[in-house]
Amino acid sequence: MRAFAGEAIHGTVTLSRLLDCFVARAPRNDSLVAKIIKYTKVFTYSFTMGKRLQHFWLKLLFFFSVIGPGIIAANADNDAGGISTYSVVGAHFGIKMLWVLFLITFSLAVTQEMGVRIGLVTRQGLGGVIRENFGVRWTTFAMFVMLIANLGTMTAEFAGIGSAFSIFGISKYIAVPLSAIAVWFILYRGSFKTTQKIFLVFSAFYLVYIINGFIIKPDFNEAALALIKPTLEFTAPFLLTMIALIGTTITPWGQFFIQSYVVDKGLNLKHYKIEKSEVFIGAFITNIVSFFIIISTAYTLYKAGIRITDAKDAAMALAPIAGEFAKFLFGFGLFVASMLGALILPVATAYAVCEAFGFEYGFDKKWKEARIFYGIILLAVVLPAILVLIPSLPLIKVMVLSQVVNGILLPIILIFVLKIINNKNIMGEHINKPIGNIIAWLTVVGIIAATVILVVSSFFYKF
Amino acid sequence: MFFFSTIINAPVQDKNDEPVGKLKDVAIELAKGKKFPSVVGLMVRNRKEKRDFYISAEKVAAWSHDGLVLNTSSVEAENVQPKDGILFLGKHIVDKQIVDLAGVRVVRVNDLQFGPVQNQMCLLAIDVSTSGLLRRIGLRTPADGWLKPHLLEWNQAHLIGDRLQLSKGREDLVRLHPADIANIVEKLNIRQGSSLLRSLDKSTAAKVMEEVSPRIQKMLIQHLGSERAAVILEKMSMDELVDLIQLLPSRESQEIIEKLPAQKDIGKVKKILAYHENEAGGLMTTEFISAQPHTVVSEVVEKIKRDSHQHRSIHFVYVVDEKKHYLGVASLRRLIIADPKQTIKSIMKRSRRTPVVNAEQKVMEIAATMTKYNLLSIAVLDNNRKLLGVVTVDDIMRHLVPNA
Repeated sequence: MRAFAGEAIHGTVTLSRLLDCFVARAPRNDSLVAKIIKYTKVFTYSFTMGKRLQHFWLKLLFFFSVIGPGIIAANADNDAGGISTYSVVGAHFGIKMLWVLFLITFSLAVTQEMGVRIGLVTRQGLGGVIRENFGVRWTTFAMFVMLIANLGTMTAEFAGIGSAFSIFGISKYIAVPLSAIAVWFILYRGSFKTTQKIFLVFSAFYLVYIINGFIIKPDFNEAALALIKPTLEFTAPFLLTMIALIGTTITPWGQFFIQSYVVDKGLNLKHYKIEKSEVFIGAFITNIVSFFIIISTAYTLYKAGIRITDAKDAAMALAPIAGEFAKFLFGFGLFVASMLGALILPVATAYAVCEAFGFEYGFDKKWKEARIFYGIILLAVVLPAILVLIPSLPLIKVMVLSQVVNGILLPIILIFVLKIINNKNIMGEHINKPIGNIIAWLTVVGIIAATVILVVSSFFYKF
Repeated sequence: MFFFSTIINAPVQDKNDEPVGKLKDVAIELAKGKKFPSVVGLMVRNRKEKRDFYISAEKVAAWSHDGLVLNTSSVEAENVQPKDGILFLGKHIVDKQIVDLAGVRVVRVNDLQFGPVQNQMCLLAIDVSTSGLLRRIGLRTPADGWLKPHLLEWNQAHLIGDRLQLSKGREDLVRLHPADIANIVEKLNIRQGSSLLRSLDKSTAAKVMEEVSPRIQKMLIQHLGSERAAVILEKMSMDELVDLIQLLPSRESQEIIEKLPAQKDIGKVKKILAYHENEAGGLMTTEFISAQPHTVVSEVVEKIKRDSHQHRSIHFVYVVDEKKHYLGVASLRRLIIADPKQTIKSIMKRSRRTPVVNAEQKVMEIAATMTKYNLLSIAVLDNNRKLLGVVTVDDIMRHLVPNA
């Protein structure tokens, strides 16, 4: 558009020339194929635009537009790492950890609400806010922490894809590279938003666990008691799994995601109340699902003394509802959940880093303009995919361990969030109330304490 | 010359080499007509007494990487409060977002470069490069390596203030093409974007608004509120305005239509609103130059000169009778070639020879007709052959390439 001094004009392209190119590409009316295309177009057009149906589509569109950040983030929480961690929690420790799940439901609601509030007040992503208030060194540190956590979670997603396909008898050496290419292709060329919505719809798969949870007729009294009665074992496997449970429910990336979602949608402080309740509902729903996954595995696998070593074992928990079909149902669910995470994470990571450091970002940019943006996405897709391809890697363990990494790194991000939300210069009158601070700090202290005890106890425990 | 990152936290000594404190921040004054803003003061922190105090720049005898030396020994007595109209670099500029006017992009300030200009310490440039980032972390990069600092001159940057409104840089921003400003607005958050929009003059803001993507347009309108939005919208062309109003929920669009000034023909807005955006009626603009058949060419030219500012572009004059029935079209080229005394009827292309579309025709059909006959714009008629509006080629292109 702009001509600079020293650039010679070779010619001009007029709009009507351009239009010629476009219309020339439209099918001519003389071939059979063209006719079919034309009539399909007319058909779909009248289908979508016909008055009554238009109404229907509008309604559907509206439905998707009100599914807000809270529910999306909460749903994406139950990704590959989530499903496998909850399954392992139930299969290896029964209902002993339900009290942790109960407590972190509040932590999840409170931390996500804080993210929403910071987003609404500062109108910036978490990366940007950290940069403007803590300077470059702390930003680099925070970004490094987030990158490690997210690369770990991406590894879990690809491990999820690998184990999902192993159920169908397809080798991970085929499934993982193909999925990595698909993820890259969808992100780079396709419509990320539409795809995300499709997978979101598929993730209704979790309903299966809820129904299953009733079919197996668990002792709900016992389970309810376990929700409020703390049981703690000072062994490395217990603490490790507990940290994974926390780390997969409250995630560093979830904290970044919810805040940039609010900013990106251009929401106002007047939306705060709606967003707050949505975040709370989201936290509640996601942990209801988690509750039923744990129950399902606890009352089937744990009772039978089956330990989860690969996806097929975890799938057995769904046998009461699906019988022979359980394997395939679980495989499908795991795949969908993994893909949803794999589509969100690379972009969320790249956005946060670029926002914090002021690099150019966005899919409307060319490779040359936004090298770092595309570079991070590519790294977040390729490196984890390669890691998963290491022969005889225990995929379930990888998924759980990645959540342990998330859990151990989480306090660092949460401390940044707490520092920001209690700063009057940033938040004005919207600083935290004492109750929010108490819950969030208890979460931070709880994870750190668990980590310290884990490190200490692992000296005395032989794996 | 030195960088902000290398002098921050440097020790400050008085003239007897007694330590005064550490440098915490540097203040500059924005002055009109000056290429480089000069340093007017320092914020120094005394660790022992745990307090910050301000020292004006005249008291600094020497600047160096190792520290600053003052030319006085009585700092305490001169505990001057900073004046209005000055900026603290660390607080207001470093790490914040700015618009790089040369590169048309939004970047973050990684570092700042200082140097003496006419015996006065001045802010010379803004470092937005990765090497600036590394310098802030404390890593040194080889001076002639592949990571060269990317320095923006102060006047090539537009500061985006969330709270502080800066007049500086506005004139420079207006020099950009509205489409480029629109890209910048899309990159900013909604508050920064709307404050940037409001800092522009009304007609530039309207042009920028036309180029912003529909999703962001909607957000901007809602953030500005109908009152302030209407001020910008009134300067927009009719078809773009209608497109925008269609995006909004009905209550908000009603509010905006009510707030628009009377000279914007609301009847026309509502008429276009009745059509689907894929149809000629929805694509067309109702702003075009028309003339009665017996007007002479010189009169028409006068009319174009008079009304030119109201129109985005003028390529054709449409000839209609007193009941607005379409008779024909005359291109500017024909007008220029013709004898000023000729009537427009005698030079126009008659309606029989010029293709037209009706208001319900679809965008691809219009595109096909325009391509076939090599038209830049096409008349839209109702069933009684009354001229409703005009679809121009850029409206079609916008439809085919929505995200440009």
